[in-house]
Amino acid sequence: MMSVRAMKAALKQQAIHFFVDPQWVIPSIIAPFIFTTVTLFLFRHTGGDLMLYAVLGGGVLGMWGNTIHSSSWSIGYDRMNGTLEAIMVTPAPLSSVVFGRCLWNAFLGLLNALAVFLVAKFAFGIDVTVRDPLGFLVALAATLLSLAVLGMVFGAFYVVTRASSALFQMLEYPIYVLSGAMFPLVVLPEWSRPFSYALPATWGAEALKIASLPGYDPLGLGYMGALGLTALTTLVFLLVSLWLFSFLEGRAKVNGTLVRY
Amino acid sequence: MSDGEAVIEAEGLTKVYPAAFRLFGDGGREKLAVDNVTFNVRRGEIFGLLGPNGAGKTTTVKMLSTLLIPTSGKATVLGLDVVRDAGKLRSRINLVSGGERGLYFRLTGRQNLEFFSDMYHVPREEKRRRITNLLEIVGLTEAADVRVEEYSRGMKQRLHLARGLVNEPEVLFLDEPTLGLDPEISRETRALIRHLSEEGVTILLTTHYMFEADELCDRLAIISEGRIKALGSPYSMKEAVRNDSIIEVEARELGEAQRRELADLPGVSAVSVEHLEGRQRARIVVANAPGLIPTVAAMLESRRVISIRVDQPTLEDAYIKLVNGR
Amino acid sequence: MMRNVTGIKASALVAMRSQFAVVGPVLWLIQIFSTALFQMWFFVLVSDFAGDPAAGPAYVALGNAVSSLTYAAVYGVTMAAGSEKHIGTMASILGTPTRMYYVFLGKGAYQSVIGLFTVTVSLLLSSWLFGVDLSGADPLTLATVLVVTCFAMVGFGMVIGSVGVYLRSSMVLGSIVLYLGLLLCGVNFPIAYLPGWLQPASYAFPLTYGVEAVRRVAMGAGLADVSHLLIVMLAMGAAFYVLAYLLFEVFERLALRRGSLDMF
Repeated sequence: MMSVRAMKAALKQQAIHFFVDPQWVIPSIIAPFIFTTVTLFLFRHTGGDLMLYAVLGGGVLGMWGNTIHSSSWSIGYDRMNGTLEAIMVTPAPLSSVVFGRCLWNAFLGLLNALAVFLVAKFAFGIDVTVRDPLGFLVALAATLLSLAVLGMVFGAFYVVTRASSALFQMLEYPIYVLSGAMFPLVVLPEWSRPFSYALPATWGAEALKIASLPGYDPLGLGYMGALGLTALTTLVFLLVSLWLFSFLEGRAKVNGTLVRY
Repeated sequence: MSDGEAVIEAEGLTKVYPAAFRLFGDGGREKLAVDNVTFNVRRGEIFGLLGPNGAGKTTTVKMLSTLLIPTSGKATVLGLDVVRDAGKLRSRINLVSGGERGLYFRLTGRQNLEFFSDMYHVPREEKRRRITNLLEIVGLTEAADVRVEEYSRGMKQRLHLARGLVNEPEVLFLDEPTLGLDPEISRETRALIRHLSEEGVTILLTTHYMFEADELCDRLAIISEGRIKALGSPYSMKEAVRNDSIIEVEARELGEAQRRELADLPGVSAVSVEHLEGRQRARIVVANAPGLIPTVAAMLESRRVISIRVDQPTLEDAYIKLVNGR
Repeated sequence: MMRNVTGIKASALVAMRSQFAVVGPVLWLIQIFSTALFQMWFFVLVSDFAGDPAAGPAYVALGNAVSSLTYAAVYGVTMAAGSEKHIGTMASILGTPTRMYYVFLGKGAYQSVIGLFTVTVSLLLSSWLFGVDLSGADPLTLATVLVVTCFAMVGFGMVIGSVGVYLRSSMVLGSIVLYLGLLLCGVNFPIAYLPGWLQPASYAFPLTYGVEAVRRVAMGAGLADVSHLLIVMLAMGAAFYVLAYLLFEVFERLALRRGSLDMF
């Protein structure tokens, strides 16, 4: 069902692409970077833990931003390049290839976290120390994984149509809002909360905050609770994405839409 | 090798593309691309699918290489069903499409091959050895660590072929392998294809170049409008026109109207018009050429005829006759 | 031809964000509105949570509504050059007697219409959903301010876009400019919050004056009260168009010399 070898190869390929011409990561992470910096200015009024809160949220936004811009486009790249068939004709599952790339993209989104961290530390003089470094790292890894999986869900649609990424990219801001990375979920209206709860990014951000901010846990989940929910929602999206891939690949093979760009 | 076992078997293979679904605008209507095609390819053979653009060659190749699901009919490759056993089949076949697309341009030649080797789970030690070897075969050893965007067309095409060989396929599908290449590179590519065949790889190639099919293929199928019009060795194809002869006319004002008029003459089975610089060359396939010359000369009197002569039929004439003729 | 093909290949690395300038008008509008709305909502929620009285939800909503102009007027225009390169039509334009500048002026006019439409809808949304009070605003004055702001911003977009004749990095530049406004132009918080060394940069963006003018008009100011802001924007705009013209000339020549017209 999955090929680790193909994932690794795809991750490496994506990394090489990045290093050949790194400037193109900017369009994908500039929005989260500016959003976070603006938030820092607004939170400065309140100060305290809120600042670290914004830094953490910014990291999640960055991973999300790059995931949605690069991952939803992953297959589009092959489609444009004429390499989609060359991949499809191999025994490696397409989903593994896309997953490897999404993993890299989410990882690259951490560049934003780094940029935000630097701004926070040097421009705002925020003391960026986390309460539980190990827990923080685990939560970060889980969030990264969950975003890569979400990228896969979006990426799958590209097998069928190139318009898909245009539609998915519109989800960038809605998810910035709904994930509650920058403000507590309780600020959001009642009706939108189920959407927030369905997103692994929501729980990943929550776990990150619980691990970092002393005394933070508005939903009473505990660190393990938030991490567990991240894992659970990630698993659900993983299954959805695998199903989508097999379903959409099948459709593309009937309609002959693999090559058309 | 004419009595080898069949490694590709297509039986009543048909593909109808459904009308496309579009969010905005009209998706068009369904299209019959391949219509009840039956043939088989024997082990070690170079088999050609020859036909004009849009004849259904590529669609056929895609169905055989597991990229497209047939609407009806059945196909097996190496005894494996192309739909049901696609997963198992993929590691034993490969597909190379012509043209410049299909490589990662920001990666080097070697990185491209490494990537695709990984897709096939080629064991690590084996991978290194095999890639070095492949680069050597296609003559890219020196350019191995240069990014593909710097490659010439010919180099890209050779890398394509190397890519198609990373899994040491038993059956290789080549879709228009010399498309858009200049004559010399085409020649190199054909030499490489022959070399592969000698190594025992079964090759199915599509082409719309007659001479390519004539030069490379042990057997070929002429396909037009989704149907097989003729199937056999290039020699047996020429048989179709053995009893014909050719009147070749060069003139300055030959058009579609004249082509149709000529085709309607008694005893004429096909007419092709080739446009050259400032003149046209018509080849008329006819049972008795010398007898028809006066009629043809009279008919084309006002078309600024340069020359009229009688010629021997070629595979091309056979092809024109089989595809367009009566 | 060869070069076009290479161009399309290389552009695959472009983050898809930059593909938006290439999509059809329907998708482009949907994209703009969804962006404008959610961007506004995001900052309103942040502001709500932050509780800064000098940058309350209504303040932020109004700023974001005005900044929605950027999407079409600056970003759309900037991307036009990049996408020409992307599709490979730039060389064919350059082959005609029409100067590239005028082609982009046409694109600017098209994006202006979309921009003015966007900003109108965004202002209405900000007042319905996020409590922006526009009841004191004189519609005619508001319209004048928006048209002048749009004029200056399209000029700004053309300056950035001219780089695209020469370098594909204009697309990267375009995406930076698209968001920088949110930080620098008094959209989400007063410019005084910015560190002193950064503040002069704010005044290079026409959006800064536009946002300020709209805020005043919303509080009941008349045309005379904002005339100095309008004059600044008109002057800046005029300067941008002249500068863009010169840059187009220079970059066209450079591109022809280097053969980078369709090289992506």
